[in-house]
Amino acid sequence: MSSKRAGSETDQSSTKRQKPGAIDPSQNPYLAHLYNDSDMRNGFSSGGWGANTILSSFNRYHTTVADATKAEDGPENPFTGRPLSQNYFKILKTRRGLPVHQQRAEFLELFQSTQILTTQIPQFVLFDDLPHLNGRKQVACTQPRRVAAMSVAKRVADEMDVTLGEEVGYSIRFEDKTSSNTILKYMTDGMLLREAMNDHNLDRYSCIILDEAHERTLATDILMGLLKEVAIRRPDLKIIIMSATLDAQKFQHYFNDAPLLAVPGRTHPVEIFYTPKPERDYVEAALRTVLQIHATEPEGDILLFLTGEEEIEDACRKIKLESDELMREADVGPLSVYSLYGTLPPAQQQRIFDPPPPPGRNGIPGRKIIVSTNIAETSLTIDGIVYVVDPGFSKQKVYNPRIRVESLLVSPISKASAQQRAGRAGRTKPGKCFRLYTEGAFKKDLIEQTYPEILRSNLASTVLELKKLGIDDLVHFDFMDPPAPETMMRALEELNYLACLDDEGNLTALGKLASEFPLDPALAVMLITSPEFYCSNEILSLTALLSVPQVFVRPPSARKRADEMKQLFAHPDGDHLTLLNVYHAFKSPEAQENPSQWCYDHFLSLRSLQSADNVRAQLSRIMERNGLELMSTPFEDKNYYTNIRRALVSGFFMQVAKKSQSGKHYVTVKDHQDVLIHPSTVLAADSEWLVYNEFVLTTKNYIRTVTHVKPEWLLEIAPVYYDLESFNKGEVKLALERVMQKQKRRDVLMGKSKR
Amino acid sequence: MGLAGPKVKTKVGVDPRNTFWTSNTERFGHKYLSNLGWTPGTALGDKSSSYHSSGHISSASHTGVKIVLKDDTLGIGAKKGAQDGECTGLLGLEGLLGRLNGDEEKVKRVQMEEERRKNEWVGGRYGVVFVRGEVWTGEDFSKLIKKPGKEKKEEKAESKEEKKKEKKRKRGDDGESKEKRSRREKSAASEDESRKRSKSRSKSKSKTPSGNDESSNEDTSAGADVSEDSSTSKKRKKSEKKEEGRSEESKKEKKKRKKEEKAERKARKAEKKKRKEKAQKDDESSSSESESETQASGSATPVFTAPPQVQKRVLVGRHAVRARFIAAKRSAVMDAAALNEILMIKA
Repeated sequence: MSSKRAGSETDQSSTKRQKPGAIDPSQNPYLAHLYNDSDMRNGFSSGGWGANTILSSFNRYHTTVADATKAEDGPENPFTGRPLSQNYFKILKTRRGLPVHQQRAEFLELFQSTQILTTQIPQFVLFDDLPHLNGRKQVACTQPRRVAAMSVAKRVADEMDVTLGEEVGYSIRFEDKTSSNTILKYMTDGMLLREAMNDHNLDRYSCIILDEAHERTLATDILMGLLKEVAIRRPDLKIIIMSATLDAQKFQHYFNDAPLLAVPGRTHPVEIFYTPKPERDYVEAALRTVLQIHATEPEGDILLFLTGEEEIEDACRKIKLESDELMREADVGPLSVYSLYGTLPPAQQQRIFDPPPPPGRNGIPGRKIIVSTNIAETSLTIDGIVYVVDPGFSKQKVYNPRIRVESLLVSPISKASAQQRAGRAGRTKPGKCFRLYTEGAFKKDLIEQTYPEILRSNLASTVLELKKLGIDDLVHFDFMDPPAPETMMRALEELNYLACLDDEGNLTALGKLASEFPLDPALAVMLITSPEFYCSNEILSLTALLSVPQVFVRPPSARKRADEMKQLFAHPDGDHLTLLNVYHAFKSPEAQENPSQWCYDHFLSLRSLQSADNVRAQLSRIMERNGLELMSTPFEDKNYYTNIRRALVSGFFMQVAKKSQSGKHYVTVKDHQDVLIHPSTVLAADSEWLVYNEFVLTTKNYIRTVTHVKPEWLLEIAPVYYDLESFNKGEVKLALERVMQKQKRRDVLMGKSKR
Repeated sequence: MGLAGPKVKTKVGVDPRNTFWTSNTERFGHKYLSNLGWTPGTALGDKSSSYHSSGHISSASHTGVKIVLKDDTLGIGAKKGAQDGECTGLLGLEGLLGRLNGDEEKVKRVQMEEERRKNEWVGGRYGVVFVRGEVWTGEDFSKLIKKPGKEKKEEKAESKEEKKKEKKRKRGDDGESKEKRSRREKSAASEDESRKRSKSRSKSKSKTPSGNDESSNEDTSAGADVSEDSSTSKKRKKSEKKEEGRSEESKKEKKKRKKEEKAERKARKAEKKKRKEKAQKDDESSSSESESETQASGSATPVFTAPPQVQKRVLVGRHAVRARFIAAKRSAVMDAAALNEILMIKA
């Protein structure tokens, strides 16, 4: 988001610079279209907008396929005016072979006649929308994932033969690669939402394309509701929704029966197989199926879907062992096994694109097996997959607003998801999909569509965003899938306790400030109030560390050693402080000498620490911009850690647990859930009150990343939440009452002594 | 699993669903939503739009997503504690019982079963068996290109492919019967037709013993044809009767009709016979299946289609009670799991 800000600032400054009348408008490359005859004067040297190319003769919204084809054929790049490269023509040839190209005329017709279009095509838009010739507007194309935004932008830049970051650029959370010349901008949906917060009408865009809308991320869902409203206010804005056809009708109906353009994919038929009866152990059945395919089926790679990192690594190991035995006993080809999941380092993720191993001595071609989470279902396309093994499970996020727990749980996939998985087998040639459940179970037990993220998440930050977007009526906002009322209530209450919303439900100053940070509201509030506790530097580092993946590495082969190393950084008062110790050690000159070796030695994730460093820098810029001071209590001061712990309470007072009387478990305050401390903690024994960062549900209820706090702080820092009237009868209330009485007595004593 | 199963202890907290929170209507969130016109029990969202009222919104928008916590590796559809009803040690015993009872078929079947298992084990090595399902061919576009607003009905279709198939079948049937009807009208002589019918029947008969997957499918569909034919001919009779009232009827036609009826009776008999045969086959189904399987295992993966559904004759009264009694007795002896428990054999 900060990057976006930087972008808008440069825009402003550039417009400011143009304001003084000193510059001859005909010299201005952005106004060049007004001076068509001045070719020679502006020339191509002005670069950028290429206003003098063939495109300037185009009539907006009245172009034809023939026009665009002519422009594409060159010899000059229609957008930059530079000559086109050899590589460009090569790509152009393959692009024209795509099925979607056949439908360009159809697309143009629909695009020109309506405002909202749902389809499964951004370059086509450029040639008709001509955003650069039309008041310096841009075309925005959103992607649900950062990686996708970057890679698609790169590919499109190649296709158009321009430099990435010039005419075609991208903008993602902590990176902005656009310039004043950018006419086609790829971005994450979250980024566009952030832009909309400050620019309610999205005035800088002439056309907005939402890609992969079927993934239904939280940001896409909010954007769609928002764009429906913006479309009414701005009739000149074109909106294109691109989605897989799985639920195209729902999209179409939602956008007031917008026209639909269907583009056939290039997939081959996939034969689907079911098991005759339910499998008792899906992992074991999956392994047997994979090996059976390897032993009996003709050439082609295998994709196996499992649920999580541990399960995948375990499966990979077993397949390798079994395949060695299989190769010794039977006449089968060589086999290589790769794992694929989100937290895998990028270098290892790339390995899945390696070609399968070469034929063995017997001349049988080699085979590649990829064991993946559901990221291979949509976001990644791996060529060569012919066989898909689908046990029917994936890890899905769920949020329970009653006990406020957001967890990743293994649950059955949807029919749509199962079909998507099957489709992965038909990318290169006709394939086979082996489902490890019965046909009856597919029809009966699986739900139709995967629930969109909005139904499965905590909405605190979303509600804050909606408020910032100027949407006050949260009840009647046109959601594609309205969130459960209980989830909405929880979010509103959390924001109210955090003082981001006042009792009338209006955004407070603190709320406005918190929405500037791309963080969870509790984290943002903690960061904003941290200067009051004289430890904003430390809280800033901590916030960054809490927003990146797990810092500690614990490989199954060296668990004991890893735990020993963690003890080096341990702070008896809790995990938050331990994290901070890690970060400080990482920033020490000793570690910075050779960070990768240092991280390896100490069982830490270099990637996580580096990205925490990056996030920290971004956040500190936002803080500076908003006038939040960065300061530290001197380390020698005995209150150094106390101040940090107190600042923690200022954001996380709603995530507190108290030890139960039996002493075996903890009870969450107000929600009364029995929880255990996650075994990964370094916390020393007997801390009665804890602040926790997350409440996770696995086989048991765990609270993870905990730090010891004092009950007096709770009453002092968050008096509204700890208003004892609102508490349920129970030990928590009793304990707090006792604390209160003790305080009163002390106050009285102090008062007496003063007198 | 009963007493022998592993004990799963769970301690339930005081208020695991946090009813203290849900029942409190004085909360900020509750008051705020109520002020904006929300009433408990309804979903959020723009209720005035046609989109909202046309069933696109799932129940999860009312009550939230409900998920069952999973802490085992049971596959989809598998139930905890439910056993396969298959037991490896029992085949020998069954064979022995068969021999003692002089039940040759049983002995044979046991041998076949053992053979099949061995083949599966040796040939398949990993012993995963799959059933061929539909063929996935990307999305169905014809459906999408229709004008908006008309698709509502189709949306509910469970799976596109299946529906297509059904449609095809229906169309095929309709086409046939139409053709036949027109032919009937053209040539008053229905002998032809009955001959044809019997031919088709004999065809289906000749196909059945081959035991192919496809033929078994066709078999059932052919059966359906037959029954439809007879019903249409009945209808036709009625209509003819009406015609009779109007126009004079010649004796020849009467004769023809009689012949036709005879043919029909014959046909019905033949059908009954066929059913009997089927029933017999059904008894042997496991053996014939195993044959087809061993054939199939020659191919890449052992694949077989689910056994075709067989319509059983409906018995009434005394016979029904007796049949049920016999069935219960038989199943008690045949059920591997039950035998297992009685004879205390460990799997």
